[in-house]
Amino acid sequence: MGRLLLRFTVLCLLGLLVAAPFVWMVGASFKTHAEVERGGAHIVPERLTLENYPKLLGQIPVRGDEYLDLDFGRWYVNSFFIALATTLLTVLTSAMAAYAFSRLRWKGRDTVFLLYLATMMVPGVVTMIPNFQIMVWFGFVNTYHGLIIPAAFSAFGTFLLRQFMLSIPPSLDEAARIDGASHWRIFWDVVMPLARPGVIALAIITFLAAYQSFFWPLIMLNDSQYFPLSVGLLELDTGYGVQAELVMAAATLTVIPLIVIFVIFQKFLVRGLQLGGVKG
Amino acid sequence: MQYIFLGILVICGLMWAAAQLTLEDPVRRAVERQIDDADRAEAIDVDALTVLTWSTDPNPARRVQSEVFLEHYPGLAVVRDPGDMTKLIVRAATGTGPDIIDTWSAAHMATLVEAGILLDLTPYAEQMGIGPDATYPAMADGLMYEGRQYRFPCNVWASTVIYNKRLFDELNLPYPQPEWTYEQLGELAVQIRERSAAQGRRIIPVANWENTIFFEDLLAGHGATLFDADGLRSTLDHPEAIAALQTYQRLMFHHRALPPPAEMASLASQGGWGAGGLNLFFSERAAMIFIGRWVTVMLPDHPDLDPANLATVTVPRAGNRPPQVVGRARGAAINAASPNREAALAFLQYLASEEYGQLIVNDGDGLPPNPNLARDGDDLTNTLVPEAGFHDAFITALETSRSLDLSPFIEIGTTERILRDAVEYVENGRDPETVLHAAADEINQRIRQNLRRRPDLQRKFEQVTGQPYTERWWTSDRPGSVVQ
Repeated sequence: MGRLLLRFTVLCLLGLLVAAPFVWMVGASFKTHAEVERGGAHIVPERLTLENYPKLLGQIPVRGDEYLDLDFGRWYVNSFFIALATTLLTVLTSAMAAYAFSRLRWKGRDTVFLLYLATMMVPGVVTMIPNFQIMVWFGFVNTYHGLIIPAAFSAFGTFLLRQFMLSIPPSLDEAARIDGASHWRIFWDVVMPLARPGVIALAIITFLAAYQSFFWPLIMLNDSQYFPLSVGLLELDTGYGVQAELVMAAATLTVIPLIVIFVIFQKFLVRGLQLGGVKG
Repeated sequence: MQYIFLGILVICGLMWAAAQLTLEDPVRRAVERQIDDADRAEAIDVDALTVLTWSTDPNPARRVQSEVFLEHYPGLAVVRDPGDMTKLIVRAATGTGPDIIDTWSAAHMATLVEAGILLDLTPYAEQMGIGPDATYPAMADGLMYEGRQYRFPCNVWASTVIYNKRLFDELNLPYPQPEWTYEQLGELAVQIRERSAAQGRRIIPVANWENTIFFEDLLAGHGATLFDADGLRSTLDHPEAIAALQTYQRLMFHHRALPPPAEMASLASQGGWGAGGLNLFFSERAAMIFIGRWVTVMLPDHPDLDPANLATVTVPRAGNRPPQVVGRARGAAINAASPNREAALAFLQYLASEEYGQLIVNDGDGLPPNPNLARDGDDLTNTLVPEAGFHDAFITALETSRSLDLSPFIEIGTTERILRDAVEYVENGRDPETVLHAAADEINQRIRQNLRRRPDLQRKFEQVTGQPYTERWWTSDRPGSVVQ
């Protein structure tokens, strides 16, 4: 009992430690500019204000009576669109590649798979300039597809789903093939439904990563109409100083979808990752 | 499962269509956002414009600066290119970088020159009126790299002491006077501490907003340099530099003019964000601050601070030396791969113009690069601080300032890091003389290492010294070398 209590206390403290910055962020988003400037570590605002949130959707004050136009609403939609499209394509391409690496027999399959996996060892920074050069050649700079297509192929996703598909008994494919099913049919109607926990886990991981992606959109975009939230938040640093209460309000709005998605799907995420680690 | 995929595909398609349908022409949009008058913006034929991209900060002042450029240079427009150094390097490496690149210091410029990104302005400068003689003499070195010009200032500044007259009055202390010394600053700081404590409050004598800059200014004030004449040896271990860091240490720990790290930490626990040096001064918890005129752009954010309570005085003297600080500039450079070179050069001409200079005067964002627009305080009065006398000291500081000397044999970032470390070591109780000897040794070792590895630097060595490069050049008896 004593050990349980100790463990509970330690976990509560760790939980508080992790949650404290988020709670403080939300608290600061409801503070006035003067209160934030005055500082103080207290979380609950002295005078609660809701005015920071509407400001983000219109113009933010930068100095005296000068204002800066933000496209916060558009950036929100952009973030969702880019994350959703990236997720859709990543799951689709990863699942098809995983099917080819797990269910089809072809010469050099395992070598190609290892080579594909090896791409995970190369840091993204190293390939940034060549990748960007390719985007320039394709005319993808300052476009949505310039953000979506390069992110639509994932060695990690292929690996995760391949592990899932290896755990599905081959006799199911064989039975389907005897019934005259094509590979496409087996992929969609036999393998994919059984790999659902892995597909959901990959979808959540990809969505969260694409939603938070910062460097690639920063490099690819000049026109603020295409900005996702992660890049758009930079505009809140106006050169006349950061208005912390607005940054906190923007950060709160930015993380809400992530928290909602994580809370709803965390069961699938944990299960999917656990099952993916077990080869059948 | 196919239906789920199809459903998401349809949603993505609808979102894409909605996003595409609501996209505006980026140039039209930028022009409309730059120009307040909608009719005038509408009348501009954006298809006929040469549009320059300008890698700069998201400062709203850029909007007005872009608007005035558009007004005075018909057919040319400039739009901001948001981003950071990584973006700049990736884009420049692929030939898609911005046309105009803001550089925040001579060191920043040198880094970009070494990366081959910036255009050599020397062949154009004199003819276009953007040469070193079109700005303050102290700025000239900061525009050059190895004798070639690579940028022109957007705004310039040099540290001056701004003090809060109300606090001095409340403490019944005399205002700092020109020609004062660092010793007198220390004595004044002790009095500020004592008298404010007697009144039951804590007034910080000098708000520290960027300690490395303060130290660099002390180096200039003490007549110290970072390198010897040919840049092959650090002079941080010379008596002048050591005296500068000793002054810093005395001001922090003996006179407590600058809050030591422990005090800053206690202020931070009381004040969160409000503990930064700027906020200490703006919230009237600090009596003085060593800073440039650009700080006045923040006055509208602090309506409780009456600008009439602010006054300026030149920085203190180090002993009998005249007061001197480092002159600094944010400067604009041109991407060597820019397809709009002529238009970009016109933009640099604009930076030297009266129209642009007046914007800097009105905004309070440092001083205009053209010294003819800031001959005295009357030229610099604006709605932020109407008092002409307030602005005089900034001009004096800039006119008497000098640039920070650099060496081509060591990366600028390394030198900056070593300087920053030296300041931090002293703040943590180390002896200035020991710290600077170690700093000079580290710089010297790095220079030798760089020379050993890089044939281009070996050629430069031979140009600079007139002697052949040898592995152990630094043990020779040539002037400036270290015989070990």
